[in-house]
Amino acid sequence: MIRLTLWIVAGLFLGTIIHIVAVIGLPALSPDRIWTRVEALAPNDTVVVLDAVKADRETLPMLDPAMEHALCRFSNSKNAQLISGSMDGVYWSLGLFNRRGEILYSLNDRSIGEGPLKLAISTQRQLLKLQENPPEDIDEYVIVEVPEQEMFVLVRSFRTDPSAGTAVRKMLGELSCLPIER
Amino acid sequence: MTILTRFLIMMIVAISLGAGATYLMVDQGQRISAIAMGPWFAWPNLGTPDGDPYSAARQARTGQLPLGASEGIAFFAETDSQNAPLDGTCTYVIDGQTPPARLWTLAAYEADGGLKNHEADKYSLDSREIVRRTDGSFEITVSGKARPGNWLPLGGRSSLVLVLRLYDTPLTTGSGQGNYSMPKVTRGACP
Repeated sequence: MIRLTLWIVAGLFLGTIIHIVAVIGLPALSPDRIWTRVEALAPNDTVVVLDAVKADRETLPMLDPAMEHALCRFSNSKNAQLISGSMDGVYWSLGLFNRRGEILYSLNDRSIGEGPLKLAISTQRQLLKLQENPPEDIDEYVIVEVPEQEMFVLVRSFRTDPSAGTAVRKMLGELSCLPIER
Repeated sequence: MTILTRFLIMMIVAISLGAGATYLMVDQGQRISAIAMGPWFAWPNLGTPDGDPYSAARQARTGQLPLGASEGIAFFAETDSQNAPLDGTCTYVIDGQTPPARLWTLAAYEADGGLKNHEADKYSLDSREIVRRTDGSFEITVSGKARPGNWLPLGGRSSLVLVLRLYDTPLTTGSGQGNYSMPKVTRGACP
């Protein structure tokens, strides 16, 4: 009987290990699920305005149907990246994600204040290089330091009513997402 | 009892505990890391480096992109305020107020994360279009059939998850954590 209890205790112990490994392993098993979809939607350094969010025609899971979305995929391995453009409207926001779809940085229209959006995503080394030979408008940049990697931004912009969709999508389409070559 | 029987008992215990606990924690037990307000649950650390492993596993399974802290936060309801599971064939009334936010939107999803289909081609209601009472509170009817007043159409299968997204809210920007509440979800007529 004591021996059986020992086996059961061993079973509980092993079960706990299986549980921990499974929970930690789940994200690792499907790390590129989001990235695969992002890669299929947008080429590098290109702003892609996603189709309006409708049932059975969702480009990415669980986007807000009240928003229009733009996506840009890039890597800061060679140069820093600049996301820029004039944005307007009731509400818009931007999220920066790594390959696994984890959020690295976010901002909304109020957090950048007046003026156009100029978000530079750079490594520490690129930032030093940028400061040595700064672009004229560097004071207007919001600079985010991110280690070298592949990533993407998702811009969400509120559509006040269905008829406003076209104008919001046009505004998103005019965003630029390019490496800062210096 | 042979050693083989004991070994089998050990393996059965191990696998049922390991698989069962994982399923429960990832699928049901997400509530431990959540902010709960009535039937509404939100995961502020979902998809951030501070996220707990259960949130990370849940996010990996659904593949959804979280809202950043500067963007806002999404609240999910899978039950009504009486704790009964939501049923997409029923009518629900959402009544009350939301925590402060510059904008909020309400949308209905299937349990698998797809948007609820409906011929009305209207998938969300937002804080700017709804009609409110004089005290700022509101009442929204969620149902398959058109309703007067604030109406969110429902269609598709019987599963239902309501998602209320608060944009630019002190809940996540950290400028205040008051005594906020989310609206009640009350079941009306069912077929």
